[in-house]
Amino acid sequence: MHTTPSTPAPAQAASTTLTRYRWAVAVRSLVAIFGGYALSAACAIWLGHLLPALGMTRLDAVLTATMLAFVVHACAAIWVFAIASTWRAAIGILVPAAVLAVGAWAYGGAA
Amino acid sequence: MMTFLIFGLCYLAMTMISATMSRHQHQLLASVPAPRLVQGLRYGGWLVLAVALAPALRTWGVSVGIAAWLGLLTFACLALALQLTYRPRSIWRCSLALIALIALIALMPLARLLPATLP
Amino acid sequence: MRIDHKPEGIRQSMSWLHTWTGIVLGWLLYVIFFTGTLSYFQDEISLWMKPELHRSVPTGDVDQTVQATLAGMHTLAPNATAWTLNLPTERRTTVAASWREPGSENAGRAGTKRAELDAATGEQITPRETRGGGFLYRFHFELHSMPRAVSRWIVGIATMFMLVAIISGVITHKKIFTDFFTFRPRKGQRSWLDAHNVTAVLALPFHVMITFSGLLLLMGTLMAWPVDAVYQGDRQAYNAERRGGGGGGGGDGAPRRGTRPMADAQPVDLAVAIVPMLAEAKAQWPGRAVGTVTVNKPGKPGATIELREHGSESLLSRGAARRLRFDAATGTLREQPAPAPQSAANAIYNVVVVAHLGDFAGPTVRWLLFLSGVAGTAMVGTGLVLWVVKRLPERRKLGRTPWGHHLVEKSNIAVITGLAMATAGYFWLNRLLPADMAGRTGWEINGFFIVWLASLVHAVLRPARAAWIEQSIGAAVLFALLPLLNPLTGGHGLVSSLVLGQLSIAGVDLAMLALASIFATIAAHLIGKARKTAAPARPAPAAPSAPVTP
Repeated sequence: MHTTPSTPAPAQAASTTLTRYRWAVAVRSLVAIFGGYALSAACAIWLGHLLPALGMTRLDAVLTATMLAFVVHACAAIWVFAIASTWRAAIGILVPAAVLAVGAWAYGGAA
Repeated sequence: MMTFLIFGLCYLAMTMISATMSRHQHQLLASVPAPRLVQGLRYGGWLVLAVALAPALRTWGVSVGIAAWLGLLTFACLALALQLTYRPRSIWRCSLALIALIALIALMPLARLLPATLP
Repeated sequence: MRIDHKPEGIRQSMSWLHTWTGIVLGWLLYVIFFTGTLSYFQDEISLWMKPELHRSVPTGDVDQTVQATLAGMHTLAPNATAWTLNLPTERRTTVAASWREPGSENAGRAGTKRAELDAATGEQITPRETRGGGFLYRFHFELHSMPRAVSRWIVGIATMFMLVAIISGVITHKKIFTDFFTFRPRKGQRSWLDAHNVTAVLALPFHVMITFSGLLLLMGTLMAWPVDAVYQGDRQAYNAERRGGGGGGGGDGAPRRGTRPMADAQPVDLAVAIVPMLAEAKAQWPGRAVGTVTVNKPGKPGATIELREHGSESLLSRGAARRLRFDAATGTLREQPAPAPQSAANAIYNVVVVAHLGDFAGPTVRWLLFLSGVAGTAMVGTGLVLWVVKRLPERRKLGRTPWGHHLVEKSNIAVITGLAMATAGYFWLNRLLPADMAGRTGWEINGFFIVWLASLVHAVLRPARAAWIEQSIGAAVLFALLPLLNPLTGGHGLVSSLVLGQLSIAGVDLAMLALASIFATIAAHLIGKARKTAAPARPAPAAPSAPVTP
């Protein structure tokens, strides 16, 4: 944890800073854990559907998709905390996850 | 025996590579080495590491051999790290002894040919 | 992440992430690593916990063992549809027999009966009821006393935290190559960080493998979405495809075929018939032993005997061993089923998963996996302690200890020394509880949790330094006395097991002595440190006889 010896600030500003920090941590954690999971699951479903079209058997496609899903989730979590802006982190994960998830649900209904 | 051979080769390889690192040079070598020597040690170290892979593949096949090689490499590095901390001067002696033993093991198949040539 | 919200580099943000993903579930990860590492030797632990089986000493004469056990099976299960005999190995001193009675085809796993047979005489030995090493193995990924779905999710989440901790740890470790061999002892926080770095980086291939494969092993729980989407919810079809095509494991018994030509009606003397078959196996698999003998339709016409190789050459096929199938009556070799070829995806899965499980690992590989697990346990443990040590200056400045620091400090003790004592307690109860006591299995496990809970209470009530010392001494004593308890309660002690070549039993005793010495060293180190910090506080005596300790 990074606590910096900052110049003494008025009590109210200090507590606002702390609150902002806690919000940022909470948002990034939720996005990394749940958003990342949704993104990886949606990617996995898409890969599961797409890879057989490239010649893989159903079984291999599903296995590959599942293995890659874990990699996607881990990388997403890293990215969420590496990126400078909390907003960008949230949007960068949640929007693709939503798009892929809706698409997968629609494809599943159509197929 | 193969286990010991692979472990020994990994240890030698990592000793050579650690000698290219400035932090360990004063522990392993008498004076600051010439850049050519450092380069030689680096390439030599990686080469010995690759050589260590061969008996592992022979003994256990590809998949288990690579796993065993990585495992033995881990513990060769650990042994070296502890030696560098507690007994740096013993590393030269260990390395020379290992080279002698490995040479013996490597030459053993040839020794079996000797009785036929002896009077 | 910074409280003042100033921009920071990737090394700083990853340092923050590594610390948090590490500490939040670090205590659980330590437990998973500790029990998992012990699980590499779960069969040996189970054997140690069944002292009745110690009297079975394999003679080394495979033919004699097989003949004796075939005779034993004639007495034990004359009407069975198939016998499977798992022969003694470096890990097992008895013959593990299993069979199915006629009419049990639909009973599934419950229809398989098992027995342990003496390797020399073929007689059945009935050991005391115990979960043995299996309890530690199951605990490792399913914890205890909660629904499997819940516990697998918990362990799975911890595993993902571990994966993120590994990646963030590597990114944040600026001097990963410079510090590769660096360990600086007796420098407080610096030493703890060095120890954490060395155990983490040197065994990094193992840690990455074990964590990722851990996720794969739980993928049925954690990431079932692609399966459900592609197979439209038909998990049965998916499981059938995995068992049949991709997995090369094969079955334990030969599939029954109706069109086999019937041999003559005389039941065959298997003990005689098997000798040339064993010789054939020796010829076909030079240097490899027979691991399993399966007899289909023993004593009846059309019986077959299948010999299966012990261990396997490749992780790719998930250890599918070579097999030889013989007609029991005529002794002719019928077929040599080969392991099925694997697709790339399956091969990757198999290699990684089998490395995690240590299935089919010979002694060298098994020891390497075990020692790497020890390194992993040390990595997590040093990380947990480092977190506390790093914050001691902050505590001194504040003049008090924040509740979070208390929480971590006490749970560290409960998890590092406490879990060790609980494991020792589990072994103690295994020998102290009477062999014929009803429900002894449950009480061994209850004892494990009772000791663990007691250690947590002790850690909460005592000051941290004292708790560490007292529990380390406790763990050291409990483990050191186990090899003495072993022969006193009917097992083969160290001397006997070494002399008789029962290395698996001896290994467990030796491991307990090793654990005892680790905790004794910790206790001695902490007591020495306590004395050193106490000494300057005492006023120097006027008499010249007492030298000032440095």
